[in-house]
Amino acid sequence: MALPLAYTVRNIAVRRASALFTALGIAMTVAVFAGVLSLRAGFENVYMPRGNQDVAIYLRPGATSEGESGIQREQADILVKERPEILRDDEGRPLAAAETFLAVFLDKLDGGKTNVPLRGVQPMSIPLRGDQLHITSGRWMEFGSDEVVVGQRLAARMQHCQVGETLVLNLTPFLVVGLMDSPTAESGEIWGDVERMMEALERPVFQRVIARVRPDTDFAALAEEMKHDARVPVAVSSERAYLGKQTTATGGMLQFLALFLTAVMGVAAVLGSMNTMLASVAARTHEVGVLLAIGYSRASVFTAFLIESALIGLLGGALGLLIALPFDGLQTGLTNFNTFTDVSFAFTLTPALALQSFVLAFGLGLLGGALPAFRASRLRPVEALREL
Amino acid sequence: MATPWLLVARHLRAHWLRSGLTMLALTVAMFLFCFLISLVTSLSSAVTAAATDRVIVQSAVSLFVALPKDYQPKIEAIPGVEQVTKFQWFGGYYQKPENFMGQFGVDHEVFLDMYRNEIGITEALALDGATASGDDVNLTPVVRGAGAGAAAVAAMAADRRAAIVGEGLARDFKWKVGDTLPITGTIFAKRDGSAWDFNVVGIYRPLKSSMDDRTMFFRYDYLDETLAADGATGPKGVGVYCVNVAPGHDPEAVIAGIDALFSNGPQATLTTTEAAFQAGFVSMMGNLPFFVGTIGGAVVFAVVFSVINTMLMSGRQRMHETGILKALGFRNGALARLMLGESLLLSLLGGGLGVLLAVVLATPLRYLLGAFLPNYFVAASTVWLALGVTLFIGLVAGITPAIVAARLRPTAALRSEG
Repeated sequence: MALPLAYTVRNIAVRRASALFTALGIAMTVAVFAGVLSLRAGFENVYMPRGNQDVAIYLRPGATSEGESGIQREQADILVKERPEILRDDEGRPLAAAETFLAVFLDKLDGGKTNVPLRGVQPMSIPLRGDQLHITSGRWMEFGSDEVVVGQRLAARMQHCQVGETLVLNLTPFLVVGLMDSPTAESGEIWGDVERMMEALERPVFQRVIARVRPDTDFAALAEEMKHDARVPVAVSSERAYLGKQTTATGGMLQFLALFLTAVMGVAAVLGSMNTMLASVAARTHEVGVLLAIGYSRASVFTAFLIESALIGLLGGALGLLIALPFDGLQTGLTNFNTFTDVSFAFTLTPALALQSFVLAFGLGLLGGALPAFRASRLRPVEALREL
Repeated sequence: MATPWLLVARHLRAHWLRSGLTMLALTVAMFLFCFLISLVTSLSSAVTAAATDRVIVQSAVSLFVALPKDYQPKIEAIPGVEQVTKFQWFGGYYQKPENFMGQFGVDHEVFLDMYRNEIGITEALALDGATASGDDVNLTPVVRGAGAGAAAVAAMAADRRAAIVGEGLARDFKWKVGDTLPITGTIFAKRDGSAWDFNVVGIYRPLKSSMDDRTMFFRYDYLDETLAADGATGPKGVGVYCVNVAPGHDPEAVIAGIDALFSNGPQATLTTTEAAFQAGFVSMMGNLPFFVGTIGGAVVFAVVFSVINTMLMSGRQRMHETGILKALGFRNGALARLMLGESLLLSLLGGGLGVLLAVVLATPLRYLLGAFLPNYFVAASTVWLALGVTLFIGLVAGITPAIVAARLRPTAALRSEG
């Protein structure tokens, strides 16, 4: 015979102050868990999931990110004109662009400097990004002139980045003529004509070639082939694979932080909840004696106390998510330690993360309730009834 | 009548499970609190411990734009400049890309002297015995202790591929003086695709928290000559110049002098104090220190409730006994002190253990954090802060039941069931 759920719920209601204290302990754990992981989710969401499988990135052999890479002009020309896997548009032009990349110092609106990705692009760079990338105000830069377009998410956090303002790169002033937006990392970049950038920064080398390739391209085979190419040895990978490798350092750090904090705070929360449940059992010793005496099984007493603890856990989970929820969508920035540039993104509390938080809260509640529930179920009715 | 303090210990022992659980929760919470605060203080310690007489010259455009090599004599000519060394970020890895670490090419003639307050050489290759060592690495002659610094300078001068590594790296990768390290360059790739070879001639220990123990310093001219001979590809030039300001000169004047000199290019410079330079790296962490601090607050907040809960329970269970003590003639104050004392003892035992754990585990934690935070340490101020917070928790948790105990009327208390 199982004890009705209403019995358990009523018990929580009677001891609501101490139940709430316990739930708050669990809530803090869940909030930290969900908060740090939604930071990571938002950060990583800018990268790999946005990468295309039919876009290829060519870097210098051995380079793991653009900042380390370098491709000479002649090499880039050969790649763009001759690679058979690169698609062409209706007019026969290769769908490929050679780009430069540099992390430049920019002043943050709230003070301090940070490293911001600056990309020199060719006209084909824009159609290559497809429909995702679009202008939200102003216009695209004129190729051949000292103009730049700034990513919307970046412009919101940096000085001198609004349309009509001027950004000085080394000694050359560039006019901001537009803002661009995209769900990808481009929304945190500054774009200008690659030729003008190279001249202003005195860096005559491209960092990468990006190209739309045939959808059936076998990247593993292509990478192996091009690694030992006699004229232009390069490291080639799909954009998706490339972006996946750009989050290892910062993503790993956030992952470690989340797991470590959750583990330690979880232990504290379980200890707290164990205490509360022990008190709950102690205060109801007489009552448990009655239940056992009138024929409720030890298993159902055990279950009733376990459910009580699990419910407190779920309450904590809900409270914790309530604390973490306001962060969802909040814009923030973090340094990507693979590329050493500032990345603009928003906290993203994914449904999967919310579910994991509830599972965590439920688990913490169960853990805290197991020992006290076992104690309650082992009480001897005769002695329990003697307690008042 | 005096306060019967023995009762405090007896009460805690009578409810050993509850006391133990609460104490453990406090231990865990205060350990975490210390860890989080230490994360933030360790991060910013590079700023506070930075040398006040050193300025850093970098490109005004980007951390990744090199400055021309011919800037060095021009900087050295500026009044107030004592010594200058190049710092060239190498960005290589040992065996696999996960083993990343800082590697800098420096001017070996001046570097160890300029950084004598930051870098202490613990072991160095002894040059005079080098021929006797043969091929057996175990016989590599090593100088330890006082003479190691001078031996390292000599060994650096004798070998173009010489390198000095931090003791953290030496420990993790089992490097010894005399080892040859193959380091794969990601920025500077050898033409033939091979790794760069560096010979360990010294191991250093950081003397200040602005220096970590996971960095390798090698000779800039080895890199420069290989690039010049076209044996490798990569940016030519210098990442940053570190400048020691001569005693008695104002670093701000030196900063202004350097930046004015290069304001018309070819590369504009951004010269800052070492503290400001380090602060730039800290600010790259974005809001992370703020988040971590918030979490530390949340931890304390959560555990306060847990202890309050315990003390309230303890107070409720003790009404009958309080009545007896009052009837025996113990004063209200004594009873309040008993309650408060129990709360304080509980939290100081639990919290103190947590703080102790944080101090004892600081070194293993630093190894665990590895390259993310190579200079993790628990500051004395953090210990005091944590103990203060512990005391505060004990006071807050004990105050309500203490007042209740003091106000209790003996007759009512005796009537309640114990």
